[in-house]
Amino acid sequence: MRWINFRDAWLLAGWFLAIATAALVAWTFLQTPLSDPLGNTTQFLRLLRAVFVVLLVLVFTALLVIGIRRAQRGEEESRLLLDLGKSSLILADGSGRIQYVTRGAADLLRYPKESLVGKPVASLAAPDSAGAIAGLFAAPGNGGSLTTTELTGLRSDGTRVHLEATAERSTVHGAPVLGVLLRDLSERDELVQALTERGAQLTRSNRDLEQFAYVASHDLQEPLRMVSSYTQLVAQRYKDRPVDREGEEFLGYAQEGAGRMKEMIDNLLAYSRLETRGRPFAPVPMEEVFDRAVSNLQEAIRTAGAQVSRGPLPTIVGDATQLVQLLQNLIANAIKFRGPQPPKVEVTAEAAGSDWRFTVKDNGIGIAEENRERIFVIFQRLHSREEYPGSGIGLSTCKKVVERHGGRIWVESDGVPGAGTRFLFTLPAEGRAVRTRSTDSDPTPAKASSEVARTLIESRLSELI
Amino acid sequence: MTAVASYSAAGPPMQILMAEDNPADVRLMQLMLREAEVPSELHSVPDGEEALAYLRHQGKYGDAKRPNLVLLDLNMPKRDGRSVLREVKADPDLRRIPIIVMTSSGAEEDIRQAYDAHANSYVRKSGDLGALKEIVATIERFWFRTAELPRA
Repeated sequence: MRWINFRDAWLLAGWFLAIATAALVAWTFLQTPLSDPLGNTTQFLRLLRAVFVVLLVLVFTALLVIGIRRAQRGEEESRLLLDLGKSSLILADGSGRIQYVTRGAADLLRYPKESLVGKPVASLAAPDSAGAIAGLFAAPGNGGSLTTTELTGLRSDGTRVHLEATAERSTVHGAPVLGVLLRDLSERDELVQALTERGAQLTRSNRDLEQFAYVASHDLQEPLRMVSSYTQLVAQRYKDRPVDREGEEFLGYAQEGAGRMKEMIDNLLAYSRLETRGRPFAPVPMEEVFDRAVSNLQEAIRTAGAQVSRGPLPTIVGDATQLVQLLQNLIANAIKFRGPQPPKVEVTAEAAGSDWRFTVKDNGIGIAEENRERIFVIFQRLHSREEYPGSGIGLSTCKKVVERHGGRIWVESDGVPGAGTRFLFTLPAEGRAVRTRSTDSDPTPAKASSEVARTLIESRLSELI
Repeated sequence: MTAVASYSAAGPPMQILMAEDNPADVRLMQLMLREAEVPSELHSVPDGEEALAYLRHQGKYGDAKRPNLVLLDLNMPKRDGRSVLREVKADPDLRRIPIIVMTSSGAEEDIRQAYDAHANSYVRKSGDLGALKEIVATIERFWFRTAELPRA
């Protein structure tokens, strides 16, 4: 540590003063007579005493300088750190005048840092926030809890800024002080507004979707029913006329098309209702869910000679009906897309952080890398109807169920045909309903999506704060 | 209004009023009643207002016969089936007439609302001819042969 710094004028003066004092004292002592125990005054003893006193003064001065330098340095360091950290801090005295501000606070209020010292704190707030400022000064003192309030700051250029002020009253050397930490809330406000707008958008698009589902169920089904009824009628009437062989073929295609379309409309409706007709979440033992899924698939399992087993499964919080549907679809898929050997399906679960990770593993035909996203898209099919019948809605239903429960689903496969497939999905251990709505008690579709928006806002805010 | 006489067996044919805006549906019902050999007369009205006018013998329906059974579609122009159902079931004279809601909607709300409004039953229309024939036969068997209906 450099404790002699000649660039500091005051230090130089201090040293000069100390040396002068020492010289003066030494001179005085030299003049004063001094006797040894025997009563003899000696020149040597007087000199020794003077030197001792001078050394004492010098050492004392040096210690004082070191102490002052240390304190000064500590203060400079903490100010530097406070400025660096961009904290907006204000220290005010008992009369409400600013004693110290950080650069962060000065920048936030758009004042030069130096110009703020001595200003009343109240002059930095909008008139309507006077009450909030007074509240800070009335906060409980030493050891009391922190007081937090929201107020409108007034910048040097007259603009306003929404602030959160956290204050604590204390005393320094017996004098009352108020420490205030300011936080700019405008960014949070913007985010809240953006999320609220996004929530409103979601509400609108959800409503549109519900409307679409209604159209699909009523208005599309009506004409379709006419097409299928009357083609059947025509087919019946003209069945026995040999001249109409071709006509019969054409009618067959028309009927088949109408039948497929009906299946798609029904499925689409069921899919869109996963959201709106979901039941409230409750604890569901997944082992029971597995049993129900397997019992629903009994016929398919027997026909395929499949072997379906499970490891220990946990209890999770969710919609039992939908969870049965989820496992049932995945197991049915595993059986449907089987290889040459009898299908083997295994359902296991393991803890993964705050989630449970479930795996549905099979020994079937596997899924090529490039199709692993596509399979979850509604109405996407990888195979022709002749190879594997189906409407292409099973896995999108799974995805929707998992997402509604706050989890995610994906697929792993070694890419080698015949290597089998692993469907994995997570479900929160505690139950984290992304969207919950009871079946009957709430017929308004808007509510669900505003809940989504609120959940979104809450989670985003908790990240931010 | 269309009236089609079907087989008249022993007694007078059953009077059925079908409130349905889709003429193809009415025609289908007619065919199915004939195939199921239901001794009945099917009358049809294209919307809810005319259905009420028919039941109350108003306007051109002055000499309309009181139906033994009403087949009511839910989604109709002018006045929909829900409103007709409420109106009829609030009428001390008309409410004795059994009303079967026949619609393509399988929505839980529609079903519940219909029964809440005292519909006598709720049947979903089917696009499958065989299924439709079965529905008509079942309606005939239950409402015209099993159940006793009031004379008027």
